[in-house]
Amino acid sequence: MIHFDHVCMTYPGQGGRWALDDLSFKIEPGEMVFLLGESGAGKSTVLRMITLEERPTSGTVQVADFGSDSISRAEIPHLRRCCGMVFQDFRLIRDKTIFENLAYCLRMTGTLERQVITRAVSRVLNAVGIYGKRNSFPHELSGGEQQRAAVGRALIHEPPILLADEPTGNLDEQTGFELMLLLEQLHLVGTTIIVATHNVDFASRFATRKLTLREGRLVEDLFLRPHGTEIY
Amino acid sequence: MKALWFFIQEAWSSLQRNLSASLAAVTAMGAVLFLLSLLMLLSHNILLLAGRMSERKGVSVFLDQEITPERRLELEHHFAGFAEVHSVRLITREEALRDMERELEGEGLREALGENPLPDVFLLTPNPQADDVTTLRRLARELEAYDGVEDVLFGERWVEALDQGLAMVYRANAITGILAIVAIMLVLANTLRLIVIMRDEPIAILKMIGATDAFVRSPFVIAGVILCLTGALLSLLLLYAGYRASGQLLPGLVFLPPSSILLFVGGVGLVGVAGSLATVEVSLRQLERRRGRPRR
Repeated sequence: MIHFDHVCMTYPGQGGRWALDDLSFKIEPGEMVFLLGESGAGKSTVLRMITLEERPTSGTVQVADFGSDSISRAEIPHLRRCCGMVFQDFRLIRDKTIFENLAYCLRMTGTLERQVITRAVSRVLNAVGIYGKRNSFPHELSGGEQQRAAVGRALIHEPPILLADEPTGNLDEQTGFELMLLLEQLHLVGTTIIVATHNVDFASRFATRKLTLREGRLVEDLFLRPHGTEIY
Repeated sequence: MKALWFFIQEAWSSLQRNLSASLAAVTAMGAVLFLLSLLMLLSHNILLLAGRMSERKGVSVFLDQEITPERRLELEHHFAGFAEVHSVRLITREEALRDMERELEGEGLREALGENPLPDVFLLTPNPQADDVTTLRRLARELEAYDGVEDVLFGERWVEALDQGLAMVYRANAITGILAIVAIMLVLANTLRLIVIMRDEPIAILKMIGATDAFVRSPFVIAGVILCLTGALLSLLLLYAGYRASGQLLPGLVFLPPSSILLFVGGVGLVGVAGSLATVEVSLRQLERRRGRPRR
């Protein structure tokens, strides 16, 4: 499903320092992978490379049918709709209600019938537990609720992959735990989840696999039982 | 259609969010377009007048006194075959003298003159496409060369003056039109750039969650067209108000016909589409460069 093949990447103006250094791994459908590492280890870069916000300096990234070396500009939106994204700072559109934030995603794929939109958005908002807040603006919600809305937005296209960049970074322990439970439920219904986080406890509790990065290199690739029990 | 309606709503929201900039843009465009529409109104009236004057354009071909009726008929057929000639009318020397008597109200004119001194004349009406001074001058030279033709006159000076006047009107229209387009583009570019910058964050979010370029671009392009069309309508309203107010001052003045109004609004709309497309494209690229990532 996701294949990093000897991926190297450097940001311009960083004196040739590698953000990712010869990174190779494969993620199969249905895994719940946690990317661990210090700040600057390359976790967010890996996620941005999956959505092709960044491109490898060398090597290739393959996501489903899309390859970093062959994808056309017109295909990039399709790739991004395959990968729901959740961010630490939620990134909801501030002047739209929660309902509108989710409806926007449907409209941009050509779904314009009001009834279809209402049905789909309501279903997702119910699934993430904030249907009652559908007419609120993001600033009227708590951090946990905003993050649930962001998860809802990421799920609206029912993507096979969900990427979460420090999703609990702005949440308290309890709210973060509840969010991880929500992601685990999605994992249990078959969604491939990739979470970049500092939180080793959550990784141990929820991950089926841990990838640890240090200075852009993969230093540990650990497979775990579905609920966090280490198997080898 | 639903998509268009959605984009119009989004565009309208963008304009409302930047109300002061939008109002400033509409006012500036309205002022520029008012000048253009005023010139169009004046040009329209000048052209109407010129059209009426053009109807009086004609070439008078004076024939020899001794010309035979056969030769005269031959020349008439020949002149009627010219591509530049719309019609040929013969005024015989008898008709000419009768006209002269009527105009001068001189009953004894024929007796006073003894012999009729007037020649037969062909009055040639040129085709509208061939009534400019250059063509008429060339035609006159050709006609003069025919055997049996004594002289050819076509009011060279006033035809030339009319042509020059019309050319000036067309030039003024073209220059004002180009200046208006440049001014609209500048106002549009600044306003849309501001609106795009204000929407930096939502644009980044949309791109990230899989919006196509067209989806991101469309509301801004439509916003630009709305600004232009509003400016055009404002200018036409001002022009009409001015026209009504000056009714007594300039009683013969005619307002722009519907076809000119449609042309004006349609033209402004097209400039709006082209200007908005270019501006939004450039602004989005600038925005992405500022975010430090190449556009993908």
